[in-house]
Amino acid sequence: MITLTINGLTVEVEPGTLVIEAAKKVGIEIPVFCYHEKMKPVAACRMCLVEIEKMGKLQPACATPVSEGMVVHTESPTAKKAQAGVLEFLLAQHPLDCPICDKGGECPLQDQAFGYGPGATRFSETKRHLHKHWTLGPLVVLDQERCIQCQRCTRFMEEIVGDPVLVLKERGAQTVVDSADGRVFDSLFGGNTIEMCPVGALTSAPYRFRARPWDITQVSTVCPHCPVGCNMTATVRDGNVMRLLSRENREIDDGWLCDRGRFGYGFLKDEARVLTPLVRRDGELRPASWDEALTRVREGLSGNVGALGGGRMSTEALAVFSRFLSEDVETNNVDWRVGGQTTALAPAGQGRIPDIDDAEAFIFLETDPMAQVPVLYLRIRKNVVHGRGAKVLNLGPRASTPLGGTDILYQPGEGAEVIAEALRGGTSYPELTRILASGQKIVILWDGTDSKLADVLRDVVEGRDAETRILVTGGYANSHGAERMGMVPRGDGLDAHGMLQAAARGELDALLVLQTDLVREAVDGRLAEEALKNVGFLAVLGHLLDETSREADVVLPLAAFAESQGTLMNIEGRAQIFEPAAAIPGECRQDWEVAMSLRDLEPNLAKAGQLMAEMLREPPAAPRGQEREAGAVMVLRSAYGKGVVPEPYLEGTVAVPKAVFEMSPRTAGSYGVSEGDEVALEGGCRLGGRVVVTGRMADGVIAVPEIPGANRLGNRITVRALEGSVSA
Amino acid sequence: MSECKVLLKHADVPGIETLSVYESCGGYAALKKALLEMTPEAVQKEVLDSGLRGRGGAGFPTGRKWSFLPNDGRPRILVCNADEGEPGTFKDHLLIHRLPHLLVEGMVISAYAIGAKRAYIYLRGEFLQGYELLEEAMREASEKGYLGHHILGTDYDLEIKLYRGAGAYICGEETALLDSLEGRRGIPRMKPPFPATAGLYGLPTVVNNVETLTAVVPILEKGAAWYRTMGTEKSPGTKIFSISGSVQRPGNYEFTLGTPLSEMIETAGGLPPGHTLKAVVPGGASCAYLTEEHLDVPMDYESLQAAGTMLGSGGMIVIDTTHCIVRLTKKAMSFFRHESCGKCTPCREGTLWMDQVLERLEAGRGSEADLDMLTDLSGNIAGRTFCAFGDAAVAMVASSVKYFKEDYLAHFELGGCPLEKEPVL
Repeated sequence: MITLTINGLTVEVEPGTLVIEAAKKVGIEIPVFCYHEKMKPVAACRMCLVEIEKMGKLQPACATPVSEGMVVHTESPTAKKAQAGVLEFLLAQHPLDCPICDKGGECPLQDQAFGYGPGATRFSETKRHLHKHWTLGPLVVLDQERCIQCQRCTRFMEEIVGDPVLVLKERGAQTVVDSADGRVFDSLFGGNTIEMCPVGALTSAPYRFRARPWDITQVSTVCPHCPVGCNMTATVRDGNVMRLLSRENREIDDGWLCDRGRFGYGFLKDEARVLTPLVRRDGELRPASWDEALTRVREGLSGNVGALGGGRMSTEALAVFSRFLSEDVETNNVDWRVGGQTTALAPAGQGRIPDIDDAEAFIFLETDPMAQVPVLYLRIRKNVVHGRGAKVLNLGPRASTPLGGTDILYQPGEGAEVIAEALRGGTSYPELTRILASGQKIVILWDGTDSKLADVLRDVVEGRDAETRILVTGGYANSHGAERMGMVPRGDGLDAHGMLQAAARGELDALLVLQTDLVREAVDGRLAEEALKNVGFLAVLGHLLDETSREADVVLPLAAFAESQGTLMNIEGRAQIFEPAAAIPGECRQDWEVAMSLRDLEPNLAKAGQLMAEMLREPPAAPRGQEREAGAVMVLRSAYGKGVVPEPYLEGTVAVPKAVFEMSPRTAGSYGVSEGDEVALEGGCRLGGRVVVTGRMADGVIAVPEIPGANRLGNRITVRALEGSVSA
Repeated sequence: MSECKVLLKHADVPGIETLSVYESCGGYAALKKALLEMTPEAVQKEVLDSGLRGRGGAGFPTGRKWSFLPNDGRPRILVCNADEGEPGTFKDHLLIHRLPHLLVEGMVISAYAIGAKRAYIYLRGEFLQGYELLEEAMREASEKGYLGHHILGTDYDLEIKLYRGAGAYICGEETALLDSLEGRRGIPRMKPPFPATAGLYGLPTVVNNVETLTAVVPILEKGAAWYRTMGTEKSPGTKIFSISGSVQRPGNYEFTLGTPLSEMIETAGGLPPGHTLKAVVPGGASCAYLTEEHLDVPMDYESLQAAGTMLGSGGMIVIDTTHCIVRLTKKAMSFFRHESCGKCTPCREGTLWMDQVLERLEAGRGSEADLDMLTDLSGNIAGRTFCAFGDAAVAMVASSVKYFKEDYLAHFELGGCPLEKEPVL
């Protein structure tokens, strides 16, 4: 340990600690702009210059490591003059935009000018002029004049994301931030640069000019789009969510958000939003009262009933629904797993997100972390590139992570055999065998679909001498909660696939659909359509009028995540509370309110919470896998598809899957197509897209992104090159 | 009297840029001595003992710089800083264009001394002819066995790569140079780590100026003790001074360090008849002005530092009373504004601001308060920046206010430059 003195206070820290970190430890705040805790220091802004005895010049606290007996003064007259000097320099060319600048009121430059600045400027020349509305990308607009060249944005993209799309151009006072080679700034993590920009240079396109920090309130919430459960703060003005910010949780998101979550609030005001209960009368869905709608639902849910979805609902609501379905409706046909999943819980060795930090090896098992749990990808990358340097193994019909490592490609369904063989010491995949046999801590990310893998993963956890942790990535924001609340088939109850088959055959009397667009999210979209047409009675709880709710007999409108409160259980099984931020629109009701009303109970969150706590004491059931037919098509599932769609702010961004079909060179050859060809996949429907030939796909499988219609394609397809586009 | 031609001894021999003439004047004898009769350690010691100081501007003892290379087995790199960007300096220009073989020989000896098998010359892009001359000299040297594989039949190999810069002054700063050499934007790096431990591509690297590397040749040829008979104790040896401005014979002159300023001016022909000395910029635009009070100052590193300025690159600009100090200071500041890399706040914003102010002051629209402000701004830049560019940028302006306040005041009073035939509006 090293002991030093800062402003007269003694502090003891580890060797290698930076002066600025040591100061923080004793509550001394040193002003900064370019310094960011999560990135390497650049000592560019010079705001953190401090006086250190025996060192001739002032030193940047952000880049100076402590030494034994060091004596630091951060508030001496010299240090203060330096701080005032830097601010005077920054403000000299900085445009006087505060009255119209988004950042005004929550601006570090303003705050520090007030706290450390000279009070008045001596600058009386002409300020330079640069672009004030430079559209870097669909979501980020740059005002180049406001930029103070702190390089936080360029460093974030390079160091944290690994995509150096933002660069500095020109020199001196003409230095500007721009995108490299004229690329569109279209990164899944681009929105973080807006938050970390210490001035109003990088701004949110949807939020620009929409609100001022003094007429908003900030409410804590949790992202509803994927199982990570990033903590967020909703900025609310007049009862409307204006934007979402990160609310750093070191054990989950580490202060980052992906753009799907950050900009995933546009649907709240979508014109397809259902604002009153709807009841079908004379073939048309018409507004009705809650009483009427609830009564119709209670009456309709009789006979052979099935319930699908719920992976996005609050755990409190799911607790009540679970009892409603088992005790009132008396059905065992209950399933959150509309996407074909087996489970959201680790079969053994349930991982916690911080396990990612000290993993010595990662196995990405039939999952694409960047697509399914984006913010965890950043954490994984931090380990691989800047931390432990964990080894990476990509297993599945498709390998995708851009972190290098070894790809082990196999046919759909063969995963369990591949792992079992390696666990036995087999020689087919030496890397896998070696890592499983080693004493290294392994963190496995698995999408949770192939049920045979659940068993073999249990063997891996129990069979290894070292620590193995599993995180299941293929669920929704509260799949873990849904499973714990028993929203899986009981006894001989039908699973999701079975329910759809039964309904399609006219054998299901009623279906209750809980906050999911079945037609889009079911494994077989055509089957879902048939099911909805042929089921006797259809009740849908949700937000939007979509292909599923349009078929309903009753639609019950739900308050969305930002408008309600409850608990979500994330990928770790961690329960997190989200608070109501925006006003509940129209006659929407919170999901637990609706559940309790259906049971004829007075809506009471505390009571629902008690029930939830009670049910959490029961051990989780290990649900059976759903029957799946493997074939030529592999539909990729992403956090986008699992979010509430559509998402207006994300249209045209990288967050929306593009129509590209990935296949191996041999597969392409077998279909007679080449890289870049425009083709149509024809099966249960016709999907157009562009061929991408990659060595990271198993032969005989085509990866289809989650574009509209992807789940109608089925497994037997032909590939037809479109006119005028086949390459030689 | 006065000139002491060591490096420039054969600069005027016709054809000296060719190998055959260079050899006939004794060229490559030092290389033979170093490689065939001395160990690398012995060569290093000779350079250390000579007291040679870096001739690019910083004056850091060369032998000491070489000693910072760690003994960790990693490959070492020698880089020749041929970016010569300091305004007023054209000595390396002469060495490259007239004595390319002297540089090649100096580089091979130095690379051998530090155990480098790869060397680079970062050549200012504007020296296109110099590029061609160096290419040719290296080709000739390789052919003769002075460069390349198995130099002089030993098992020492050296490859020199010649790289052209793209016009940025900041790339003369050694770490910005390294980044530029690596293909990045030329922006200074954080030190530590120093290039000795993490230089080009992270490898142990020594960056030396052209003149420094050429000086290694006579040092090896005649010995450290001989080198120390010239110059002063703290500034041994000779240096080429690029003398320009108000002298009758501007050009490159080589003197022993410690030669008085007045003698140098005389050697360059002195001021034209009827002209009176006003100021001297001793070592390039990064140095504070000297006035006629300083005419006797010995031109060596320590004496100039004591006089509040620097020896720098030895780019000496002589200014007489017919030149406007305010205009000259403003021109220098425009240069620094243009060349600032932009990384750190005080330099990026300060050079722009001060350039704007000086433009205004030159036009006579200012007051004494502006001069106090310039002094204060200089204080907020010097010592506060990421690299020495900040200190360089303010040297002339700060000393101009100190020594030549009346010139500024005259501009304000007149509303323009008193030396202009027509008033500047």
